[in-house]
Amino acid sequence: MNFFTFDLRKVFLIVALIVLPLMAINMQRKSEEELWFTKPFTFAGASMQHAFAGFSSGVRGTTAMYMDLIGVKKQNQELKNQLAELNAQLGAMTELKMENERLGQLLGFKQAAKMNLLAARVIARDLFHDHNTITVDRGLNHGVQKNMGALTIGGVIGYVFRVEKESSQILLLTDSYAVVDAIVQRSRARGLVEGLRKGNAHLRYLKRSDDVKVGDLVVTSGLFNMFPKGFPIGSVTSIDKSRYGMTQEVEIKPAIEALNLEEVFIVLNANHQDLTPAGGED
Amino acid sequence: MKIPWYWLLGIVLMIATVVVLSAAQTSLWFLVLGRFPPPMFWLIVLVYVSVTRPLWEATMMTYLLSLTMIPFTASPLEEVLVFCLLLMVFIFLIRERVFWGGPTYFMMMVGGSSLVAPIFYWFVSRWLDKTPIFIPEVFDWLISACLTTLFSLPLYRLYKWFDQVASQDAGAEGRVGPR
Repeated sequence: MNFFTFDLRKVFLIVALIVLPLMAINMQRKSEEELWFTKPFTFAGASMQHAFAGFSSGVRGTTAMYMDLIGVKKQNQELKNQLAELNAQLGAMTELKMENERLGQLLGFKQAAKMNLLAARVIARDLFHDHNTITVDRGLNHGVQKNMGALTIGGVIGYVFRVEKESSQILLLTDSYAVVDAIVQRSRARGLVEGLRKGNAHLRYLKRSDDVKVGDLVVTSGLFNMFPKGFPIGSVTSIDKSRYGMTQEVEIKPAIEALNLEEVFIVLNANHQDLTPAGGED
Repeated sequence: MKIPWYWLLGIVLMIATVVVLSAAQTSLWFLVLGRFPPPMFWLIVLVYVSVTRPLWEATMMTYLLSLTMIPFTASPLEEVLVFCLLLMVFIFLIRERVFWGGPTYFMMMVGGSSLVAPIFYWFVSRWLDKTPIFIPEVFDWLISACLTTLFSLPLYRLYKWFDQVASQDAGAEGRVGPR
């Protein structure tokens, strides 16, 4: 084979391999500007990239949102559980706080009173709607006896009518069987408080001439040392003086709504305490 | 003489439920729901014995029921006894004229008895008490009657089961109602 004979195809190939990259490098060096013929490709490529970027962003966003939703749902559930737990704790705390305040008041009352009082918790009420009784968790084993008075800070609620070893039943003032000796605080007129119906009682056997007015406070007489003398029973709400007769009917509203109570005191011994305000006559 | 142990067991079970339900009515219901009127569980038992037992057995059960109820109320024994016996006789007389058995009939009898029971009690109180009671508040009365009727269905099932345990099924509902 002659030294100067060339295979032209190989020569072109070699030249192209060497020259084209050089040209490309040279072109890049010469100008920063994009060539006109690459613009459509650049545009198309960029558009596609944007589209894919947008799509991927959307996918990522949707996926992230979905993943977040799962997380949020879980978190929401956890927060709801926490909230419920906290609400329950708050309710219990509020209940405890109120109970604490109530018991604090009762304790203060017990310490201030000269009477021997026994604190008791209400655990039940009467089987029949028509009777107003409550059952407390203190009985014979705690020194409770029949006919002992029951009261709370605001007034008399009734008296013990049945005693068991660990519990006792209290007949409330509003029960039709209940009878408590009482006096009108202002005029010292004497009568008997008897249960009338749910939430009310009446003061009976007052003489027609006795001085009673609506709004008068009716208090305990201290008879039989069942209650301290002068302790509130209720206030007069209406007076009925019939045209003929020796007595007058006086309706009273008890000072205490006993069916709503949770704790009461049983008067073990009233020690003849007299709570009559100074100036009262008997 | 052979002692009817199963029959006695049935009575004991029924009285035990009266104690449990009366305690639940006076204590649990009161502590959980406050002053919301409770159902009269004792009445369901009274209606059951009046509807499913012969007269002598229903009377005996009414005596036992009255004794069971006394610790839960301020009402004296004689008053509760007279009230329950009157109510039992009333239900018995209706049963003698209208009877088809089953839970629906039982619920209807309980519903009717719940409505008339306070009136009976009012009459008994006016008759025996020096200071008679007043007719209860209408709302309490109706709510209590509705709840008593609702609770009568599960208790009916329970008492039927007691009857089966006591092997009385054939002799109880089968022997009552108009012939």
